[in-house]
Amino acid sequence: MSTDFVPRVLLTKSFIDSHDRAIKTIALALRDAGFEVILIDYEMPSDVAHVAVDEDVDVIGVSFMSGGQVSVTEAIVGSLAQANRGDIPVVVGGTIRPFDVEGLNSAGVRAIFRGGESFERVIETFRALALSTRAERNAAA
Amino acid sequence: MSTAVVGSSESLAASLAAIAAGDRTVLAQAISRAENSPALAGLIDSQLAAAGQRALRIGLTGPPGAGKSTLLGAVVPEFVRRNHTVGVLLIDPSSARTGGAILADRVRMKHRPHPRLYVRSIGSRLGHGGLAEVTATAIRLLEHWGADVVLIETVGAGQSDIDVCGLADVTMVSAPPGLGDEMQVMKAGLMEVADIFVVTKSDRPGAQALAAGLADAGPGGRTGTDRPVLLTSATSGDGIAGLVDLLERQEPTPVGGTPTETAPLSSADQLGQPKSAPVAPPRPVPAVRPSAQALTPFDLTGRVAIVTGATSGLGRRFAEVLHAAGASVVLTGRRADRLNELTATLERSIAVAGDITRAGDRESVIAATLKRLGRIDVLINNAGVSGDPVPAEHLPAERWTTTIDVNLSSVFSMAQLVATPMLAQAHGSIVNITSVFGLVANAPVMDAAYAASKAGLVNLTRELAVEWAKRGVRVNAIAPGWFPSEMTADMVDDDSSQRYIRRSCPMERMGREDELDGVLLFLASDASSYCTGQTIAVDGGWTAR
Ligand SMILES: Nc1nc2c(ncn2[C@@H]2O[C@H](COP(=O)(O)OP(=O)(O)OP(=O)(O)O)[C@@H](O)[C@H]2O)c(=O)[nH]1
Ligand SMILES: [Mg+2]
Repeated sequence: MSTDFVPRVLLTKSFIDSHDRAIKTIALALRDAGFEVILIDYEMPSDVAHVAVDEDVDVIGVSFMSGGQVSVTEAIVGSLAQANRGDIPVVVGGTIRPFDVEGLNSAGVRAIFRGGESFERVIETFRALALSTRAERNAAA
Repeated sequence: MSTAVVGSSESLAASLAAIAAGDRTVLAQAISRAENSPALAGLIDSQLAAAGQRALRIGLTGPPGAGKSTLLGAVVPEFVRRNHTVGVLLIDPSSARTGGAILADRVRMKHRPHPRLYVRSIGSRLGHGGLAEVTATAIRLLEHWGADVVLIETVGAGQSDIDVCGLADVTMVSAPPGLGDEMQVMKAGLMEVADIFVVTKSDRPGAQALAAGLADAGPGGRTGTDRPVLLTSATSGDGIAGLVDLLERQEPTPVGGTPTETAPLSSADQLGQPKSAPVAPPRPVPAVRPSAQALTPFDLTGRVAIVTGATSGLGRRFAEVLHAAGASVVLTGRRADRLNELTATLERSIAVAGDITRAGDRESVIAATLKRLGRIDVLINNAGVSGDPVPAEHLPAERWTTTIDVNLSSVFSMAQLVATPMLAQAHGSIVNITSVFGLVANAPVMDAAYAASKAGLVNLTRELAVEWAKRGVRVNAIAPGWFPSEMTADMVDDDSSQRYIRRSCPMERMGREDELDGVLLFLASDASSYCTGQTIAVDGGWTAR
């Protein structure tokens, strides 16, 4: 039994952050590449994990336009682990300052988009991560 | 691109057992698998068809941007608050070209996570065995998980969306005021499926007219009068409790029955007594027919109000007035015995003793309120102190600090604490009790700390009001002149004080205890729904000259 696989992505930013241009652009590009894109504005980092579980997403993309890059990412990764969904990869984008990179990497993010990457690269990164999440999960089931 | 879907009957049985035990991860993954494999969906359907669990299935449709998701953001927490276990399916169209979709309903729905709530976004994925089939399987899985209410949002754009309504026991069709020509489109496609019309965004102009139009239009071969028309505003919270009252009275179709016969909705139904909610009494069913139902904007039935400093004369009065208008009241103050005395006289009240200047005590007031009453709609920041008159040059530093601490800092902290639940429900009214001596000088009754703290409150009121204006939370202040209270007890029968009042107050008298009731009720209730950031002086004309 096999069928088409529609990858599901959660794209999110803080509800305080009013800059949604970047996230909308990526959402449209992913939709046009055949993804289902779920959007939320999180109030607390743990909201992201909660929604990721309920929506059974394959990748999470977090956009930062102001602060909290490292601490929020760490909190999201932590709540995912707590919800037993540490397998869902997290990627970050937006205003990522040079001194954030090390902290983000040690938090376990799977990709960092600092602007300037081609859409193709972004989409391929999401697709590869989504495929591996889904394959692992189906193997585990 | 393809991937194997595990669908052996043992693993399915294990998954279904885990879902029945409440495992939302397995539930989520089962919905994904059903979406990706019509064969597995069929297997799930056959396993669950006889299971027995049957939720009330509520469809919600309407033109794009009607305010459906925002409405769910208000309705769903209300169902959860009334102890239901709720499943929500948010359906959005998939791109016919790429199969991708933007599922953005959650952005507007904006709910807080809850163990008894599961929300799922679904792309319509045309060509996958039909939207209605996948949705039916998802509903069955939600019922198996324990949902007793399932809400389904779909854009009433095409036939497949409308088919989804066939799965529902009751279908709500929503429309906002100001659609104009689009109403025609709605009439053609959506009117027939409606069991209930909901005029969304009722805070906007034209809502009453639209409701009236829907009530007598009688389109789609059905007379309008047998279908309720309700007005709701997710921004103000108006009409939400009434809509949930009405939905709670609907019966799910029994298992094995055909999903056609739903409990009749008569207009008598809308006007009937609402079922009582487990926590606070619900508000009466709101405006249905604009002409038939008088608005009672001062009514506080079903609302929860916190009054600080409730052991003082004015605080006690405030609590009694709000209670008399229908609110459940939470009384705070330092003297537990007095609080208990007061709660004994007020049917719907709880007491939380504590010192408002202590962070821990403030937090326990909020926590106790949310735990026991489930929500916060009104905060009356009444607690305050004043002292004997002291010339400014001799005012002790600690008197300054204490006064600012009680009268200003703790008021701000309380406002901050209630803001979280109020902003989340996009509805709330904060009333700060300042003083005419926040507007004019206190002298000759010299108290620089009091004057400064109360003046600070006046502009704090404006600042909070503007910051939260768009998000449904209003902040206003009352500036009483001289009223009899413990703080002013000495003045009432002191000659020189009376002379001072006659000289400074155009009405030449102190206020009576009941003369703050009207302003308090006005600011606490929806009667002042367009009023925020204001300080209303109730002072016999003191500040008018
Ligand atoms: N003034 C006012 N605006 C509202 C209310 N409810 C929703 N809105 C606004 O209406 C717009 C659309 O709201 P949504 O809840 O996304 O509407 P929808 O019907 O779910 O939209 P789609 O899912 O895109 O079809 C948003 O800008 C909301 O802020 C309301 O009660 N009052
Ligand atoms: Mg919507």
